[in-house]
Amino acid sequence: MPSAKTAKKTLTLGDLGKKLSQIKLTQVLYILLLVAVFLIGYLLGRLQGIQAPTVAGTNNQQQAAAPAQPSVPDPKDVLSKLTDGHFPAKGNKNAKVTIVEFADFRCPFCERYFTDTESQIMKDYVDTGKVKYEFRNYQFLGDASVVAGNAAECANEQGKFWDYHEWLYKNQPDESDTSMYNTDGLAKGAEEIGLDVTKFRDCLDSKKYASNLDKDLNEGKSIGVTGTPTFYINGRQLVGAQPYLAFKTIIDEELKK
Amino acid sequence: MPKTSDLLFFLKESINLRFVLKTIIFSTLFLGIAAVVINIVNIISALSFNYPLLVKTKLIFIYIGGTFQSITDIDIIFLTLISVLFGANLTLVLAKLKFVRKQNNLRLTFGAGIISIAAAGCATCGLSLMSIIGLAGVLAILPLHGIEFYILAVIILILSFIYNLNSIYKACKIRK
Repeated sequence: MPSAKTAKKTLTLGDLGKKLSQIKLTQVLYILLLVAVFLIGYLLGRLQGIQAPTVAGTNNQQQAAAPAQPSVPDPKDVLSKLTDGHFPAKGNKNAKVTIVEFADFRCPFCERYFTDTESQIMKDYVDTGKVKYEFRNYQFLGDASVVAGNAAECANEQGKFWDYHEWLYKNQPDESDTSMYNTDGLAKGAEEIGLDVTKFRDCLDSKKYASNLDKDLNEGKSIGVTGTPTFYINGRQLVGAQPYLAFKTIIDEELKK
Repeated sequence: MPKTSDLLFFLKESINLRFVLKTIIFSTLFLGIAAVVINIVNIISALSFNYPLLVKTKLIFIYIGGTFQSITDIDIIFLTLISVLFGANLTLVLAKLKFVRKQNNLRLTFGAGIISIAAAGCATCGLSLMSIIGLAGVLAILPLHGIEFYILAVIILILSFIYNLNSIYKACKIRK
């Protein structure tokens, strides 16, 4: 003799099929709406002005693909971990404020920052000796980014890092187009800015500065870089292609100290 | 499925100044919340700075105001479209609530209302969930690099709008 509890359970299970058949369009649409909620959330995440890591790439890139956590790094901790970098800094070496940029040459948001904001910062703060500006090779958007990063290292070998950096952004194709990121494509830039092309090609083919890229990538990860562009203004983190006014406000506040 | 002619008729009946104003308000609210969510990392960061409160507030407003400057054109188009559809959906759901309450069938309507409102609030959940389960990498294998999700979201919101429009139409007919 089944107990009342079992009978109730059996009854519920028996009704399950009936209930499922009674599901109306209403409920289905609400479920779809719920899915839309998560999709919108996902899209907003995509819009955060930073590039989500890709699945393809080297070990280092896979390490960079760790989930992004919205944590705020302590400026003192950041400053203790930041090195002087291996690219030449722009501006006054004894400036009160230092900006360190972590960027990927294929990242469209880095290009947007370069086009819309960087020149204004250079004009108002770097050229006037108030700010020292440094760059880090945070190439994490796949193999083509690594090739571009190596090319920048090779340009640096010939003393023209900043010129090549400018060429790479000014000639950045669509994110999905990686056709120019090979020795021939990147040698065009070397030629345009007046580098020794043969030396540049040899350097790029040998990947002799690959360890520099790893070093910058690891430095970025150690201080909380999860996407590009990420900036540290006297150790204070600023993520994404933010407007000039955001940089100005932080720089001015740091200059007051 | 509702007839197209019925939907067009009721769309014409529904769209008045009040509907438009409410949609604009809800869409703006959605965009505002979206801007906060988009800049959440920088906002939290700004709040941790040892700057005067006025400077922190200024920074937060700069980040929110600069949202449309720091995202791509395609993102702007879809975000605007989604916010308008969200606003229109919420307006309809609230209008529907007025009719359906009297039929003692509030559960589903409240459910829709909560889900619609949660659309903006849950954006952070969506982001966290996607990051935790590692779906950020899905972008790389999709042919349109994530635009698919935008399109899907728009389709779902349009379907929801059509459904809401139809059900409010039915509710009105029953009421008459």
